[in-house]
Amino acid sequence: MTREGFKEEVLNSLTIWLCASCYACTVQCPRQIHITDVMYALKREAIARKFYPARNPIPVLAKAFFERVRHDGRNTESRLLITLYLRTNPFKMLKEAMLGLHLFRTGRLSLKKEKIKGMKELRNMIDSPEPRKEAVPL
Amino acid sequence: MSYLYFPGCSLRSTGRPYEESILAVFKKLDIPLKELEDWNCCGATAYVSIDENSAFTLAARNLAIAERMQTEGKPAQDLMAPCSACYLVLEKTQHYVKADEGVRKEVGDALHRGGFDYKGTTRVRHPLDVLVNDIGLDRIAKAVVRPMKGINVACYYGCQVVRPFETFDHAAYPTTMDRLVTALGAKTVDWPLKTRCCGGSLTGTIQEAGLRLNRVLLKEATKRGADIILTCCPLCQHNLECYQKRINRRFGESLNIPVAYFTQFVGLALGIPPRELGIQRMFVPLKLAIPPVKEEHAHA
Repeated sequence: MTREGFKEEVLNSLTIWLCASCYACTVQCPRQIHITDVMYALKREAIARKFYPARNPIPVLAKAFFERVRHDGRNTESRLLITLYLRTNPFKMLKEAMLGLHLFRTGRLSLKKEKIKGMKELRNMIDSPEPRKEAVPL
Repeated sequence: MSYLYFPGCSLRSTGRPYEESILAVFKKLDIPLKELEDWNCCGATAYVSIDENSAFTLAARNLAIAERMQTEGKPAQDLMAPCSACYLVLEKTQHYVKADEGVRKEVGDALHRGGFDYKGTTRVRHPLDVLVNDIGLDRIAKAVVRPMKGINVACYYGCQVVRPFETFDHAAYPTTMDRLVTALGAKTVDWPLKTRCCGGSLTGTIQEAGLRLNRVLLKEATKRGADIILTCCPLCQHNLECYQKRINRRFGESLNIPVAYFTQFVGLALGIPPRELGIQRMFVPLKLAIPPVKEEHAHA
């Protein structure tokens, strides 16, 4: 569809966001098309061109995750979720509070920030001096 | 035989019982694990949704550290990653670095900027693969002090541990965990949803979609007579266990089935005290499926 001139329709669809990367389609495709990787490429394109509803939590989550890892080298689940709810729907945080509390009580959620030591070297590596290129062309 | 160990971010948080039980089981079996020095996030499925090239580099830094940690003259230590997402991202990166010249050059240049020279020798492994194919069922079966007789287990593999590469088992119908559980004396139920998607992070984003996927999995396992579901991924475990109440409310179900890590189950069979396996951290009590023995109370 993207190649036939329906690129905007594809980039605006919810389908690309519902893909949870389970690779079921990739292993079943008789033509060996890497569908999951194509979905990733479409997500990147949609995010780069801001082709998604402002409150769609999936691109917001992806961005928040990207920023967190670029900043600390690791992800702290509790902080990521708080960022997600603040940026999408703060009321949802109330709805999730009981689950969060239960996780805290059982020692399965911590606010302590995870960070790596080699942050400078990692930043040198991931902040490429060259512009972004796509391995899977659309 | 020893391994490098990549915990990943989840095992330090929601997946804490997974880490506790892995460390306890490997210690009991006398297999040394060495944590990867200053490991960083694998990138999971979110990072690659923003930038593909630096996603490969991010994962490759871990592979390069693993290579650097090898001792000359000694057999290479594989890098063990228990979280399915970490496992796949690291494996996929290794795969692309090997097979795709463009990625190899891009990642190689980026690693150089960080002072690494990666030759591409790291082998990524999942603990399920390590336990069954390296350590072996015979050795594990011999170490069992509490046979798991009379317990019906639904082995749930999730997606990324077998797809897309099928490195150690079939993409749709794997059997590794089933064979392991059988070696511990338990019975496994045969079900077709072993690798059906749990929705990953959808429970936190488009929750309705996530709940529906997990409802199907939980109902099918229960219908097939399972007393417990065992998983090998922190996200699968979290989804299947922590959202059961919500699924019950939303869809009028009455699901109440324990969902444990396969390593917790192995640990109990090997006689490791429940506390060392993080059993007390579970939302749905394991005792619904596995009655506690007196000896365990003494330890707890």
